[in-house]
Amino acid sequence: MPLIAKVGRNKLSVKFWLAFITSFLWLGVALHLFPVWWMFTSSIKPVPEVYKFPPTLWPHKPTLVCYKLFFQAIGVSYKGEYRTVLPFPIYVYFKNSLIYTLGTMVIQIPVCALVAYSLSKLHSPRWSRILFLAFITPLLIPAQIYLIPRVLLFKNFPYAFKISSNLPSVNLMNTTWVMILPFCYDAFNVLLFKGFFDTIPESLVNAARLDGASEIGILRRIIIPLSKPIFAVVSWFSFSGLWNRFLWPLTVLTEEKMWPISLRMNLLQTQLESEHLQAGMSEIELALREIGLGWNLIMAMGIIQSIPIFIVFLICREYLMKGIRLRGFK
Amino acid sequence: MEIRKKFMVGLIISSLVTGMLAISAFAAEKKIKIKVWAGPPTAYPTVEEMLETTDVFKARDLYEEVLFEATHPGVDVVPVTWDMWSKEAGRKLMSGLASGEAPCLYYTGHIGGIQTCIGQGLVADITDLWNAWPPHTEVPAAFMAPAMKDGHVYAIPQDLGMSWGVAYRKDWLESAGVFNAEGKPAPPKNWTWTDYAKIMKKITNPKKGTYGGCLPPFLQDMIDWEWDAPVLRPDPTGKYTWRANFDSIEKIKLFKMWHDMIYVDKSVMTGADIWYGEINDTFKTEKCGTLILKTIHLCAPDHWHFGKPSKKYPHFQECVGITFLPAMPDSGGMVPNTLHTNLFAFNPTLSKEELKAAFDYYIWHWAGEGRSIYRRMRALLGYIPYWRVISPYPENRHAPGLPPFTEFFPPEYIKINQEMANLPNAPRRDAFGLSQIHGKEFGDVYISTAEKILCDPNCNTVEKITKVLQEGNKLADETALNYKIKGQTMEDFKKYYTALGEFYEKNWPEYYKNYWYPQFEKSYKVW
Amino acid sequence: MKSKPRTRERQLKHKHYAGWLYSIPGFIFLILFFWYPLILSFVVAFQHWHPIKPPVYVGLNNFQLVFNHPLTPLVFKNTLIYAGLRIALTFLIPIIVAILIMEMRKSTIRIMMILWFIPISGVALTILWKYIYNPYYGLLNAIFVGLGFAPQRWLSDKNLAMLCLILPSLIMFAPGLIYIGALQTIPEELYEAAELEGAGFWSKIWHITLPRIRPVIAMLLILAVISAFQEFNLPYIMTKGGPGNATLFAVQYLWRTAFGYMKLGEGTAIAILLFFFLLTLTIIQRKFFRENVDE
Repeated sequence: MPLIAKVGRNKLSVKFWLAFITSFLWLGVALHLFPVWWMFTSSIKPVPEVYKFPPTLWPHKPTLVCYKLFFQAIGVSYKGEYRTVLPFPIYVYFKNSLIYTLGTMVIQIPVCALVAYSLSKLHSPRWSRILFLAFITPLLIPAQIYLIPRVLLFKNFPYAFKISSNLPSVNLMNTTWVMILPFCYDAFNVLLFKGFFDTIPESLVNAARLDGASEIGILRRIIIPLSKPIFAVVSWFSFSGLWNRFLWPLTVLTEEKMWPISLRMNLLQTQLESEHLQAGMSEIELALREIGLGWNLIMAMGIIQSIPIFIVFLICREYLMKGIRLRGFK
Repeated sequence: MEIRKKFMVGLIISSLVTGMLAISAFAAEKKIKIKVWAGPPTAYPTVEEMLETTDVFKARDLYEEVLFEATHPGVDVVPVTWDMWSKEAGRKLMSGLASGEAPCLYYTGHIGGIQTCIGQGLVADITDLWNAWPPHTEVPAAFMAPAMKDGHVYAIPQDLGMSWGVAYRKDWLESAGVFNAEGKPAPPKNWTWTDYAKIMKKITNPKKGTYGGCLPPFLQDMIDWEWDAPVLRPDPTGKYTWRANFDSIEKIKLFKMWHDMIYVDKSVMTGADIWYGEINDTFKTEKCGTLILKTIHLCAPDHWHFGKPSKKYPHFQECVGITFLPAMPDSGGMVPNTLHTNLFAFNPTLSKEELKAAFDYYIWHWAGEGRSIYRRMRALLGYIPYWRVISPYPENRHAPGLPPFTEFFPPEYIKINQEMANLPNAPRRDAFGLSQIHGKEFGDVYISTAEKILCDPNCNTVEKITKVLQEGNKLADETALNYKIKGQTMEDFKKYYTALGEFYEKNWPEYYKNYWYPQFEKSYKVW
Repeated sequence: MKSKPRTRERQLKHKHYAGWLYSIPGFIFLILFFWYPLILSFVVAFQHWHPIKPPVYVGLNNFQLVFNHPLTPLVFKNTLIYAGLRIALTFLIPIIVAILIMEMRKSTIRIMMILWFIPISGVALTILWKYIYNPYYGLLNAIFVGLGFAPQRWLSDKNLAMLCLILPSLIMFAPGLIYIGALQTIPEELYEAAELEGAGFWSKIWHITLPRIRPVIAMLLILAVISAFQEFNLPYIMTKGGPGNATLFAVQYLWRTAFGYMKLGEGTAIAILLFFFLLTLTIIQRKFFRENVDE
């Protein structure tokens, strides 16, 4: 509302512009939603229809077979026999994912917020500049490269090498910690937080300081209430990032009962594409192949995997909206 | 239903009993632990849960593990869920090797291939163990050749063998009027790429949006990789071992034919974004009428779902036929012997005892008692028994006490498979100390070169194709082929190419005359 | 009056201590899980690394190999073109959309926020796009044919493949949400005051909105640059660098070298080159925006 003058809203030209903006936005919405819609319809199409050209907008014979595969815990029928598609019922993977994701977020978000706040408001400008670079360097390096040193680190925590057998070290592979500890700090979140804290005027903090507020008091009474929207955005970002982790669990979790849902789904998908599919030993992939699933199954996986992210998104959006009402510089 | 339940209960009880016996009898002994990756997943904590899901294969895995431990005292089989096949398998394997988590046996294809791994010392030498296993003489040399270096053995084949072939839809050929000499809807015997192109054109139906086949660029490399295709030539200067030879006479010809099929006839699909899974799917979902594939898929037809293809051919086996790869035109029907398998190497960090135990386990699992348990179980449950016409291990080729192949596969499948297995075996580079290392890197250069031709509609003349192939040669020379094998001399080349020449002259004189000898004169004869 | 400077001093001291205290947890995690493995992996760039045997020190050999590799210039050229195009084509759109969305009624904002920024798991979205791009049964060609255009080969066309990899990031929904969050912090009074002074639509955007969200833009620009230069998933899932290396980007290239060909040392050397390049870019960017903010 702020850009277009309130007074002249009834003028014809203003109305025209408003209508133009509205229609542009709705057109954009339509363009955005089309892939999502496409994902959904593809996931309920029977197999041959997925490959039809021109494609059908709504399946002639909608089927929920792809979804059934995940929720029934049993899968494929062949001559009346059943085999499991996923070795565990789907809730086991969901539970693992929730533990890893929420466990990490509980530590990660306060840690990152504190770092960003101290960089933005507390350190002297010179230190702030130096520390900032130190803190965001991890962003500048492709994560692919320090995968192996990290694996070694967790194998022999807290050393990367077996220096001597006298030094105490633990093997954290295949534990919950290996999924939580390396993600407790995230440079991306620090950058987001810092970008937001920078917009809070220094004078506000200084005024509170002059009023005799302690540093913790300033943080609690002024900064946190002001930055609810950024907390919402960061928790959503961090949730979706952590929920979709694939590479790291694949590398460090060898017991399937520890696997998060994203790993199981991604592995199914890459194995569906793999050249070794039928040469491999896994009965699961063979079973999936047998009922002839392709794109539709992958689309169904994508939707199942996206649902929790969508829920968290809705929650965070509520906080974003509340953040507007709570604010005031009066 | 009943028989399966009974069988399973029997399995589980017997496995528990044998397990208990084994544990109580050998508890005091110090056990050798081996990490196996194809073992039972830890899915079901209780037997009841396993029964509820009626998942027989898990029971079999558990039974196998316990039985092996009982019959091999002193060995503790530790199953790990290890992703051996996905796109990330190479990365996982490397970090697993570095941290010591890797299983005792792994597939090396994702980390550069077996010959690269031999050079780097990433695989254990199992020559003695292999030679001490009596049936090793019955494993065809074609399977083992890529796993050998200087007479040493470094890997064992998986239990299944493969060869490249073509699957076709009989109903499509029939309605397009394609019949062979016997009047059956099938491509002619000893067909060539010219025949292939003609048939593709006939069965393509633009109205229905269906195509004859699918020829993505990566397929070139995949097929060539399984035999010593003429994509390499010796380095005349002697500075390096190999130089790339993408612009060989037959490759130029083949690329031109593929390009015409894609852009002139518009009868086959191609694309840089099409991978193995997709070409399979397009065939199964009736988008394509033919499929270039490994015969393994046809030896396990229960893994195919085909709905009801047509009224006349209601079943998969009746509807789909298989045949050889097309030969080059005027080559007298030369089909390369592409017999191959997945080669598995052993972890070099294993101690001698562990290596022996791991070797025993996998031989037992793939070619011994373990395999026959699996087969018997499948047969009992009404599944198609898990044996192959083509297999490295004799145990899997004829299964005594089980119904014969003919009950499950049409006779023509078996015939074609046997013919493929019996194709004459060309001498391989590896046997002459001329292995090609960095195979994966070379393959990537090859695929990118093929993409430049097949994904570009304008690259449509022999001159343009040759130019792109020569650029590819240059790139491969500077990167993947930038090495010289230690102690390799011109004499090795002479021996290898003489043997190869004799082989082709004897078996396919026309191919020798039209393709091999001109190429030999042009680029192979460096001594 | 006398005690005042002392409290001021104490407060500054407190500020100083609090600054370091708040940074400590982050520091511990940063050093243990980022810098330590990072330094370990940097060492690898000077070694001939081997997963089992002890590594051999080779000096600058790995860098030499990377510099002499015929694909290196092509890869960095591809990466530069891709990153440049992607930022030019996609960076401004979320800003515009966020500003325009704020013009709607409150209830409309609520709906629009869901619909514009609807989240889909990243890998799934990439696969979806691969399906849409398929030249033989994909949606995009169906639309093209329906509208009477000639069907295209999308990912298999060496000229179009690059653009095809940018389109999905056009619908990378996330940044818009941050802009909306930032736009909420602008008090409406400012606009009202400007209105009284007779400021129009554009001058309000130019003088009030943009300066206020400039830090956010600066930050997201850094992020966009970094993520564009490090793009891995899109080419990895869609083209694997094809057709004919036309979409082979730096991270895909280093991944292939390090894990596909077992040359971890060379792969790390590529990563270090990329790192210094990005570090320079970031420093320049921060310098540039700092001057503006301080004015």
